[in-house]
Amino acid sequence: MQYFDVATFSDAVIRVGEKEFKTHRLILSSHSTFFSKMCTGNWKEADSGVITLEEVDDAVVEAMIHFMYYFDYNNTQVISSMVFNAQVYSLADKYVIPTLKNLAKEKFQAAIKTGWGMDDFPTAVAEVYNSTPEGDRGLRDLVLEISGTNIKTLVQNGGFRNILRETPAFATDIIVSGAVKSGQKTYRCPNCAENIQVEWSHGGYYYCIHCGNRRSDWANYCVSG
Amino acid sequence: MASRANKIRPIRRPIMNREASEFEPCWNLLRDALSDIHSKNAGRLSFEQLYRASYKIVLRKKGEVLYERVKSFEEDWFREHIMPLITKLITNNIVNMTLIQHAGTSASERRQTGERFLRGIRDAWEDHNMSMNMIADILMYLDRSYTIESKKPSIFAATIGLFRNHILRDTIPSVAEQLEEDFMVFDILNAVVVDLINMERDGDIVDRNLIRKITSMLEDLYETDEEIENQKLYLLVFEPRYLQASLIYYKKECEKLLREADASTWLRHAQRRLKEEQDRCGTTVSILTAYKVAKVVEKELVEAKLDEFLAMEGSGLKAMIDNDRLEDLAILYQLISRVDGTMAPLKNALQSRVMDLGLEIEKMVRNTDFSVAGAGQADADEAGDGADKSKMQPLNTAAQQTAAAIKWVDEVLQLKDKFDNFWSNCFNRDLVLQSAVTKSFSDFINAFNRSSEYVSLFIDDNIKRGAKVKTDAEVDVVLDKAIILLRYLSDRDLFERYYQKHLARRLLHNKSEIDTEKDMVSRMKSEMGNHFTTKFEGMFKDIELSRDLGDNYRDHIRQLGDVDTTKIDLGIHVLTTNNWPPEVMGRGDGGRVDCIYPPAIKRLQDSFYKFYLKDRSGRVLTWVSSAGSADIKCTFPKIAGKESGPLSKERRYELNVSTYGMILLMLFNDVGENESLSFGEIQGKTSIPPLDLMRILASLSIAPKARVLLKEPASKSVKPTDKFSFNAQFVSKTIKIKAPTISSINKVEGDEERKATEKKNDETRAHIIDAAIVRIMKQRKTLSHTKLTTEVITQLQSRFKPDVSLIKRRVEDLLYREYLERIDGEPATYQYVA
Repeated sequence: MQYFDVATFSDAVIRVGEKEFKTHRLILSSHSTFFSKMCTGNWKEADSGVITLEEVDDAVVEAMIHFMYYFDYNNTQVISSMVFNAQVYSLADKYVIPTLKNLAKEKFQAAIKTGWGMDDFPTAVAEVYNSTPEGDRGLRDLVLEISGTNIKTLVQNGGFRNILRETPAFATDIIVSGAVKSGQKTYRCPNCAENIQVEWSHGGYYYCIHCGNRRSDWANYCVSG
Repeated sequence: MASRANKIRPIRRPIMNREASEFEPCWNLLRDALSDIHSKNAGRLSFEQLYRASYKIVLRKKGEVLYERVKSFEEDWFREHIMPLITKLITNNIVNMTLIQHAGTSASERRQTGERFLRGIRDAWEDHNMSMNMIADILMYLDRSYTIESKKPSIFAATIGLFRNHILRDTIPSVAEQLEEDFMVFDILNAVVVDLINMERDGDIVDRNLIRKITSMLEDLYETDEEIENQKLYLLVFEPRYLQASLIYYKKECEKLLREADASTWLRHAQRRLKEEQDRCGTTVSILTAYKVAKVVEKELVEAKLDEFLAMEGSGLKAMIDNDRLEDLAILYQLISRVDGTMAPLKNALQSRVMDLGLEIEKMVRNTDFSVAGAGQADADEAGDGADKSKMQPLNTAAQQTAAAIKWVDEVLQLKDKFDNFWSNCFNRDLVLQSAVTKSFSDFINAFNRSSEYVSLFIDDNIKRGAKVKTDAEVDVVLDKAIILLRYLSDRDLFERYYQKHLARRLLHNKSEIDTEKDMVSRMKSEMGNHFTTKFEGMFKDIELSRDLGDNYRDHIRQLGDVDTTKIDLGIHVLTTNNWPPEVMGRGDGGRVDCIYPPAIKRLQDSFYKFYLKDRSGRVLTWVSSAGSADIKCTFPKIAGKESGPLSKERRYELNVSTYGMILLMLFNDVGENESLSFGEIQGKTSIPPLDLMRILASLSIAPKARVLLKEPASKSVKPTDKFSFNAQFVSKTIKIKAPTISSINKVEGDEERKATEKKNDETRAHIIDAAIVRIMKQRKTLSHTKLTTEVITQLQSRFKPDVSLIKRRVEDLLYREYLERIDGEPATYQYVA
């Protein structure tokens, strides 16, 4: 018996845009803290059994619900799978579904591996940088890695240059990760709390460029790489 | 990466501003929702909408602003809506009751006021807690990203903490004026809870659920918003006060019990209190405190006055033990095992009780002895100083003393049973207690210097009587117990000596079943080792060989057809000197005395010796006249003038007497009618030692059962001046008569005898110690005095406890005899001289 979008035992309806999905609170709650709080608290949704999700894409929500029943989802849309997976990732983050977040990340990684040279790559980058909080490194690091490896090709691309211009956070990350690649590390001086970006070999004595603090254990204060 | 954030932010600002415009509508939405939640109107709110609003704010990097706004909203709400409710609860009444502690309020009044106060706190808390949970739910995304990254307390922790900061820690101005000290609501709360629980301890019924709600509130609140696990307010503030109050309560209660109740009540009370406190922690306080409050009760109610309760007259430990109060002892054990893992108080009390009871047995046995007339003199008699008055009842006295010995062992075994019963039924088979009690048993048994002898006598008595009256199973049980006692004895060599003596008498006089004897010895063997029983086994072997030898000799005689000697049937025991006790072998004090045998007997001896030497040339046989016995057929003539009754016929009896008795009686074969022999004459003709002669004469001329001799004068004791003649008028109802003899009864030794035994024993010990020292030194070559002493004691402790000064003397002796030498420059160190 399949229960995906089936009325049997269904006790919650998810409405998104024009679409409606018949779902089960138990399934929703077991995957997501968001839904479990919603269903257990004294809220309108818990009372009516109708969950209206707004400001989200119905295709992405469908993927989420599909995942809850089948532990997998497919991109049923015609849009780029890089962008789509980034959207699923963002949704999983919003509704606190860690397993879906991991799956979306894997799928995204596979997609950009082959798709970084495509025209929609910059769009995917923009989606990644705008749909999750700054501290969420999951997709950001993947994007940076593939961009770093192929930076010479990518900078030829007008769309990519555009996205660098429009998304300063991404541009900064690119530069910093380039520096890291070159062997430089960032240290935070325990004396003056300033950051130093240098390339120091292990074990020698070095001076802080800000306050002149001399020490040999800089490795303990490395904050990057 | 902080550096990046710092440097990038200015560039981004235009974008942020654009996004900021979204913030205010979202916040307004959320703010209205917070009000609704507090007013319990959340049912119309959409979770999705509120969550989305907070999600958007966080995603637009406005988490910090949201966090601060929520916090200040809650603080305002709290001040305006909740604080007034609580302030109303702080009435003068409750302040007076808890902090100022005015007298004159009844318990039920206090309970009602207190519970009203707690209910107010509980309601406020439950509302606050529920609202905070809902708010934390809609702000979940804030907690998951911003709060974690900025390392701030979760929004729930920050808002729930308001209850702590603004209610519990709020000071009460009215009290501060009165008492000139700051008091917080928290103080009142603690005092009320403690007061209510004390009421419950006193038997009142209080609202347990309510108290539990309050304590779980304190478990949910922490000292700081960091919510460090071991900094719950419950643990930091409430619990110490609760424990302190419990301590005071139980201290008082214990003192009251000590004044008014007995130990038995106290035990049950303490047990019940421990159970109650355990339950109370589950239902009313918190399970976190169960262990700690149990410790308080244990300390105040059990441990504090333990010694006083145990010492209570009529109900203390002494009474429990003496009256077998198993339940009391079982509870006592449980309680003490809680407070002291070493069981020291119980252990010590048991030990001293065992000692006391053991000494009491000794005293009782001794007193019983003296209550019977003549016992004191009996000692003198056996010491052989010739006091004549005591001759009247020598057997009786000896029997009494033997009975005392058996009584002692019986009592000790009963005591042992008693404590075994405690141990298995009350003390949970505690090994510490077992070894302690065992040690005490061993101590008092060994402190009693006759224990070895008494145990041996006890076995003797049971084996002898066992053959007659007891079933095998009964004998088995008794012998098992005897073995237990044997385990306690430290002077095992002394026991061995007594047992050898007693066993020798039993074997030679055929007083016991040989199977029982062997059984007993094999038990000893498994308990004490092979070396302990070699002599006993040698004795068995001698007895068996002698039986065969006797049979062979009779066959030999029949073949010879020597008609003359067949009149005397010889039953002989050929004993190996080393296996048998010296007394039996005639190697006693005065050396062996050869008595003069009648010619018929002498011929028989020569004939047997010749037969014996045929296969075993070179051996020497020594006849031990003091150890044998003889069955004599005697004929008593018809008495002239008697026409009826037994005296009218010739009477034949078979008389069983000792060898001396036989020699004596055969002497009267040659004495004519109406003639008599004086004591001196008899002694001259037989060479029987005077003491033995006196005894045998007494048994044959005084005891009516076997009065085949007449004594002149007919007094009740034998004196060297008496004369004896054949009692032609002797009548007996039985054909077989056993002349009562002293020598065949194993009885308690007299003091002199005992000293002699100990002296002999010490001599043997000296040799054993010599051997041990040489053995050790031969192996070690050099050794210090202390180490040598320790080793000797270790090696010998299975046999006896060597005296340290004796060891020292032996070492000196060995030095003198040049088995050992001192080492120059190393004091108290010896070297083996090969």
